[in-house]
Amino acid sequence: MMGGDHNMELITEQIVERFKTLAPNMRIYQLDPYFAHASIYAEHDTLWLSCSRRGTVQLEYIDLAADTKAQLILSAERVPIELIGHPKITGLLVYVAQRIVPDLDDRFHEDPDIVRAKQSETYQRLIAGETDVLSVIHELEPHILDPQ
Amino acid sequence: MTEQIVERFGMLAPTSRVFQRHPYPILAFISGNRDSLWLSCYQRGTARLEYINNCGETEAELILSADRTLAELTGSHEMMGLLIYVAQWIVPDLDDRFCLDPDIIRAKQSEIYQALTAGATDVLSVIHEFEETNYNF
Repeated sequence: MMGGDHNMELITEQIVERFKTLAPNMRIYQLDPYFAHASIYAEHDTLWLSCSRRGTVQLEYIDLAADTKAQLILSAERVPIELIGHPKITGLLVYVAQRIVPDLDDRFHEDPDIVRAKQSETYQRLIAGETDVLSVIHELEPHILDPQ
Repeated sequence: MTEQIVERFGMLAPTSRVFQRHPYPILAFISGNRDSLWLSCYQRGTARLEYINNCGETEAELILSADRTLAELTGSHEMMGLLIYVAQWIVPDLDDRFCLDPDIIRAKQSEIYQALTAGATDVLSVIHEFEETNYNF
């Protein structure tokens, strides 16, 4: 676990604050010192953020049927534990993680799945400022993408 | 290894079902009358246990990373006791750091964990017990 409880509380608040800046329609469902649950919602699909007491950060892309289409789990050490989903969506998750988690480990950037996700068109367009998080969700919504 | 974990999970209760084998995560669950205990096995070897109530809310969660260390543990003391018991049953190669984690040590002192390890109750009975009692975070 990173640092003390107070550090974790501050870092979680910081992550949620940064998540808030990514889209106008962001909603915080729960926020206490040790657990945060927030979402960016579009017409049908939703991007969920969960920050936990032990420092784990999870980003989950959920479709209309409440199915998880993509998921990124970061450990308290900021190392990717899991990354699943179609590259179009994992590219979004990796972009969001980079925007909201200030202290990503080098192992995050060197991870082969992360490197692949960064090669996606979605990630490239987000990084280039040609699109934004909400627009990407709107683009993804009409499509059913099987995880790779 | 993942297949072994799913198979061992299935042995825990007669109401266990595999919900999804492809694509990842592999999903299995043990259903009570209203609540259920879900197992998710991910591509990289992460295993997640979730206690989900009848509103679809996660009331307790345990995440084991591929190196069999504890990445996450949330929920009430008693629910953590259940998840730890199940994790120990389904994952044969838990890291020493799992067993030495302060949250794990505390949750092992729970009445539920003690009853499960003593064989005085089983996973399904514990779920039924939780259903009758309103355990909160």
